[in-house]
Amino acid sequence: MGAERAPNGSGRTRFALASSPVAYDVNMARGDDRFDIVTLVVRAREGDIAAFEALVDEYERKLLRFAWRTLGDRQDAEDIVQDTLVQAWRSLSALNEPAAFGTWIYRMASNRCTDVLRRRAARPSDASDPDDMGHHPDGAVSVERSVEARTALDHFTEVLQTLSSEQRVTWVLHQMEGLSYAEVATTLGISEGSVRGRIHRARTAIAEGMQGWV
Amino acid sequence: MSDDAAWETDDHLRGVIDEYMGAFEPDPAETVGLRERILDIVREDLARGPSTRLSTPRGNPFTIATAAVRTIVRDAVDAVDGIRGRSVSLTPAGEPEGTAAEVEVTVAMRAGIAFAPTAEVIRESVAAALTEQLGIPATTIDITVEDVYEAEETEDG
Amino acid sequence: MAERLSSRTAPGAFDAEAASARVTRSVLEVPGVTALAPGLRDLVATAAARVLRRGGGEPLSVDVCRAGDGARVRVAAHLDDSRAVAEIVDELFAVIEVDVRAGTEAALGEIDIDLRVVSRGR
Repeated sequence: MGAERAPNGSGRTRFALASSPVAYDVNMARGDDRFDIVTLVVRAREGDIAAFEALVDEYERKLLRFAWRTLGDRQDAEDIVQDTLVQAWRSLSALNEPAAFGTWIYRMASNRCTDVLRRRAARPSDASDPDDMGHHPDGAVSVERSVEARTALDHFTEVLQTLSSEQRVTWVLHQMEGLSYAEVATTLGISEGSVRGRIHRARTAIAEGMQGWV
Repeated sequence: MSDDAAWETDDHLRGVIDEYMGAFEPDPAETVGLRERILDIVREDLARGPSTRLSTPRGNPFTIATAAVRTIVRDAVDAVDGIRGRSVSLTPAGEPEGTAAEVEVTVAMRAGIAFAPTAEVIRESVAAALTEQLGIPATTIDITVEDVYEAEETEDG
Repeated sequence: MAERLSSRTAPGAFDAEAASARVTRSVLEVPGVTALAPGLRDLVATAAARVLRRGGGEPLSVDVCRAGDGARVRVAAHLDDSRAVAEIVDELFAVIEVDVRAGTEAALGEIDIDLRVVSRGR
C-alpha cells in the first residue's frame, strides 16, 4: 500500500511506548478534562500557553491553600505560588518525568514555605502575628484581650507556629492536604520514616499545646 | 495506622483543625489576580522565546514564534480522532531555507486505534495545516507514538 | 549604518518618522493583526531600565529607518487565527512597501523588512 505517498509529506512512524507504566502521581494530579498530565506538561514545556494555563488551573488553588495553611499569611502564600508556578514554567525542561509534575511543584512550594518559616524564626520580629491573619482585624486590642475572649482557633494558630519549619510543612501536607506518608516522603525527598517522625512530633506538640482548649 | 487512629478520635481537636482549614480556604474568585500575574509573566517570557525563520510562497521571509508554529502543527494533530499531540518540532528546510519544513511529532493514542491508517490521517492533517497556514510544504513528517490512553467518558467517539 | 533621519527633511526626501507613522497605522489595519509587540531590542531595553510597560508607556510603533540608499523596517506583531499566517505576512509586506515609499519622490532603494510574528491568538 502506498502509505509513504502522503500528499506532501512522508515520514517514519515509530512506537516508543514505555515498557512499564509510568508512575503517575497519586492523588495530586487528576489532570485536565481533555488531556492527561503528561500531555499537558510536554506541551507546556514547548511553549503551549493553553497547556500551561490548564496546569495553573489544576494546581494554583491547591498550592495556595497549602502555602496559606502552612504560613498563615495570605500574601506570603500568594508570593510562593506565583514564584513556584513561574519557576516551574521556566524549568519545565529540567523535569525528567512529566508524570511527576505534581510532586515536583509541591516540592518547590514546600521548600519555599520552609525557607519563609526559617527566615521568620531567624527574625522573630517578622514572625506573623496570629492576630494579623484576618480573624481579628482589631489587632490593637489583642495584647489586652483576655484569655476567655480568645477562641480555640486563635490558640491553635499560635500552637502551629511553635512547630519547627519541617514539622509544620510535613504535618500540613499530610493532615490538611491529605497526602499519604509515602506521598509526603516523595514530595519532600525524605524517607517515610522521617515523615512519620515529624508528624508524630508535630501531633504531640499540638496535643500538648491544645491542652485545656479541646 | 494507629497513630492516625488515635489522633482522629479527638473530635474537639479535629473540629479546631477543620475550622482552621476552612478559614484558610482560598475563594476561587480571589485567585484571579494571582492567575493573571502568573500568566502575564509567562506571556512575556514567550514573546522572548525562540523563533523560526520561514518564507511565504511569494518569497517574503518572516520569523514566527516557534511556540506559534508548534501550535499550528499540534492543532492539526489534535484534530485527528483518538490522537493527542505532545511534542512538536519543526525544522526549516527547502531552498532557500524556510520554504519547506521537516516535522517531528510525538503523540498519545487512544487504546484501540488502528495506527497505520491513523498515521496517514495525521500526516495529511499536518501537511494541510502547514500549506494553508504557513504556505509551506512538509518534506517529512515523523510520528512517534509514545503513550496509549484509555477512552474517557467525557470524550466523544 | 542605519540612522534615523529627523523629520525636518527636504520635501520629497525620505522622512523615516512620517513613514513610521504611516506604516504603524496601516499595519494595524491589516485583518488578522491584533497588536504590535515590542521588538526584542525594546524588551531588553525595558528590562534594563526596569520600566513597567504595563503602566501604559509609549505606544508601540513600527520602526523605520534609513539604511544605505534604502530603508529598514522592523515589525513585531501579534496575530489572531482569523486568516492564514502566510496571507497576513504577504499583505504586510505589500502594505509596508507602499507606505514606506509614499510621499518619497526621490528614488528609494531596497526596503528590508524584518517581520516577526510574536504570537498567534485564537
